[in-house]
Amino acid sequence: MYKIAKLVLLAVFLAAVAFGASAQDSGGVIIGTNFGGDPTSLNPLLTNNTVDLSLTEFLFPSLYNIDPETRSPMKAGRNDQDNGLALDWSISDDGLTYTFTLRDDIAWNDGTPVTAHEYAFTFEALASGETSSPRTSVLQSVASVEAMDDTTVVVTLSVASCRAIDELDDFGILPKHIIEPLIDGDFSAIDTLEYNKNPDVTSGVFNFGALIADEQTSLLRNDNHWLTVSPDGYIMRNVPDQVVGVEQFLAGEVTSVGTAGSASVPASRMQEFRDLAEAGEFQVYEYVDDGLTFVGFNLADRNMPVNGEDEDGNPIDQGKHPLFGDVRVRQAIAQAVNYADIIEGAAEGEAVQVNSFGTPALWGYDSSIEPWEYNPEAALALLAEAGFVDDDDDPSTPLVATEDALYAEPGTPFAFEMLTNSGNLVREAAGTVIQDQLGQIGIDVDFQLQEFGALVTFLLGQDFDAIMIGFTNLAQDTDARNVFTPVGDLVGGGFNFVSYRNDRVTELYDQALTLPGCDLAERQALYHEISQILHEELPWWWLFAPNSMYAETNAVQNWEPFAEMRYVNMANLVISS
Amino acid sequence: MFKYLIRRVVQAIPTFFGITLFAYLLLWLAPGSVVERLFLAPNINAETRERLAKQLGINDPFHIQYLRWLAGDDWLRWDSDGDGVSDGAFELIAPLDADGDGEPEPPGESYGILRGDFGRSFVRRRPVMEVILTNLPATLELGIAAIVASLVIGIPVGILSAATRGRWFDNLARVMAVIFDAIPNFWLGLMLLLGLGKVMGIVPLGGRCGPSLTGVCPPLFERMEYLILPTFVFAAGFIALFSRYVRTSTLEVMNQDYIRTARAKGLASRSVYFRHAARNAMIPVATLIGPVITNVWAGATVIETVFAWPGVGRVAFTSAIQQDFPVVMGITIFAAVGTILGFLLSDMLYVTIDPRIRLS
Repeated sequence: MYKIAKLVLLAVFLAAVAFGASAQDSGGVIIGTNFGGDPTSLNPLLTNNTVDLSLTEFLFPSLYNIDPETRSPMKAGRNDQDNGLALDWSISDDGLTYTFTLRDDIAWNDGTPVTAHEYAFTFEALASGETSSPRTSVLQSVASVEAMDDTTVVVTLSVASCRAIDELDDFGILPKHIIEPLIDGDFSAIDTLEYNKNPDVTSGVFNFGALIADEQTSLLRNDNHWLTVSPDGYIMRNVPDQVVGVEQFLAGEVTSVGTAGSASVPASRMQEFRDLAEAGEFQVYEYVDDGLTFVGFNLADRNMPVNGEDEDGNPIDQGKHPLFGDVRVRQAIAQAVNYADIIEGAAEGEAVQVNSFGTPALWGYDSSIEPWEYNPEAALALLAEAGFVDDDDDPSTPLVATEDALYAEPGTPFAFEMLTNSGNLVREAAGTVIQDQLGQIGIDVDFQLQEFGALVTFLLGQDFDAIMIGFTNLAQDTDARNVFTPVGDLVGGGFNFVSYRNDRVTELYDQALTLPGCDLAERQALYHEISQILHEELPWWWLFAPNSMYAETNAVQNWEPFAEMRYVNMANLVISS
Repeated sequence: MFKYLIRRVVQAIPTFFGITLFAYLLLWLAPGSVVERLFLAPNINAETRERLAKQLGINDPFHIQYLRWLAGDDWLRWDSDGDGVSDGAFELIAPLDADGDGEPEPPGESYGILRGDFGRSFVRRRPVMEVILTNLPATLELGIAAIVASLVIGIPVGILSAATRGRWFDNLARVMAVIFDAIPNFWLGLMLLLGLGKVMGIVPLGGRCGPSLTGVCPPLFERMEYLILPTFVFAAGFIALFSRYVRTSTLEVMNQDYIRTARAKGLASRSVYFRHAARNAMIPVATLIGPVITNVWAGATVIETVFAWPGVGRVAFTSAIQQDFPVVMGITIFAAVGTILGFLLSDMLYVTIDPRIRLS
């Protein structure tokens, strides 16, 4: 009897071990927190925010895979999510024709193969201009997309563009066999398809599950996927803000802080998370975010905002800003502020100083540039050279312009408005530090917080002195023509709202875009030269890029994150109970 | 009563139109636009933003936008031969080629709220009515729970306060009423989330139900832990309100002759207070029901945001920030109609509770 009992106990133990082992091998649900609201559309042609993209990346195929190390297109490569169609591609000598060879073993979850025709159909919808897709930058350079057969796509450019390869993967791939019959040739009908909120035919590691409005969105494992997908599903829970998301994580209500597309551990909690992760409480991964905060100086007369060029491309006289029209003034300001204080005061020390457009994570970033350093004496000397002096030996009153000032009337006090959007605590704090430190050398900054809509009106209307804003989610090869060249100097719409013009920069940028062969190292050198010029001329005063931190509970096993690619191996994740 | 109701409804019509005009004007005057909020990025050029703004119709003059929202635009420009191109227009208001590019503007397709078409959300890309009806159950759930809780707690507390006038229960109830009335509910909500949710871990930190792969929120009785805190915070102010009104009116009623008669007949105090005094003391409560319903709509915006409760109030808040006009206006219509109905309900309850009162 005793032996039988022992055998039974042994059997129970072995069964438990076996069951436990199998439970560790697969399954479980990733539950993340999202404070961006519900997805607005799960149609990849229409997506326009990180919430949408956090979900569609698991649902739809892409033109090619992304190398998680370099974040650049991978030829024939496969990352663990493995949704890329292209096995290979070639570029013609004139740089105008791209020929892609696609895989033939990827299918939608209803069994229909994903082919070149689907990609061409999606481009046709975009090019029609009838949808509300914002992903139209590709149309500036791509003339046509043609499916030669099921596995060959030929893309013809109207102008050579080294950004084309990035842009060609920007607009998603729709299931033609589902969408085409629904719209009956009317591409505008795509905007209102039921499919956009309930995409039942997809091809990613997950299928769409369900949306509980303003509560959560769920995805379910695609059992027909060509990979063996481990997680049972992925849930994105809506929370009101970062703080609640963090607390839900610490309380064990969710497995992850943030979503696939956003990290969401606030700077003020990063050290606490680091300490807890070191103590083995959970896992974190840190990187420098792909966004930056900067101040734009209006170089033109804000009282007469006009475009940078006329319709024939000839420069238009925009006047000069009385202060910022002189490059020495801008350089003085860059030396009058202690960057460590800004980063500590505004970002709790969780940021890095940025000296060039972009962030250190992007290949175009020039990390060799010597940063501007805090040197108030040099700043004052430069301001004196530019014709701004302390005429009453009272540091509490602003400097005034002398007859040496290039654009300011003599006697004009050195005072200007600096705007930013209210509610962004990082920018509010950074602006306060700048206001304080510039005040110490006799520069009177009227730092104003504006509601975002009002700020945009001032910004696009070019009706400001200086403005503090930021770029987020910068692409590896962001189209900066709208930022750096007169093409974007459009009152009411352009991103060159500081009215910057330097023909050498325009020339370098054009060269970088049209370089035969698009060699990355050669393009990088051109971008670095642009960065050097911008660093010297300072139309934009780059400040800092914040640190980002992913956090996952220890229950999430096999996790191998990369910067901006949190779940690159989603199919292999195991979430223990 | 029927005539009275008809007259009130007719009187409400100009109020309703006034509300819509004023609300739309306020939204229209707000700086910026939904397109700039959603699509302001270096790689989205000005032409694309212009095209998107045109598709949404937000660059049209105010009177066109308001008319389109109110009465639709199928009568402003139409396509009589069915080829998808406008071939007729109400030129005085909406010229066929308004932008002067030589091409007719697309035909109107909306019917306007007067014909039951609330339009489509700019941001959520769904019909506004669908957005509201999807989130309405959550708001009703929370609002009804809060009103019921406030009545169930506030009325007995008010009567007991009157019955124990000047004693410890009355004093405690009055102090608590002042505190509940004075504390901003968003602060109370955050503190309770901090204490009971984060520190003690006995309630979840927001939401209406737990994570679900199937997207099904279980029945209410299986997720009461999610309802408790927002209901309490929502009801706190109403409890204070009801208890103070009921206490005051009960004390007034207690001096009436019929109460003295009841006492003289030797009835027990409980019977005097709860059977004889309570009914007349309820009259002020009836007048409060309308404002309370109105406040449920207004308060939902704050409470639902604090507790991540997926109701209409939270949608209103996020939509206002995003300048999603159609959703904000749709919710405004619901709130306006709810307010008008709330006050009508008050009037009817008034008559029901006190037969001496006649509506005229």
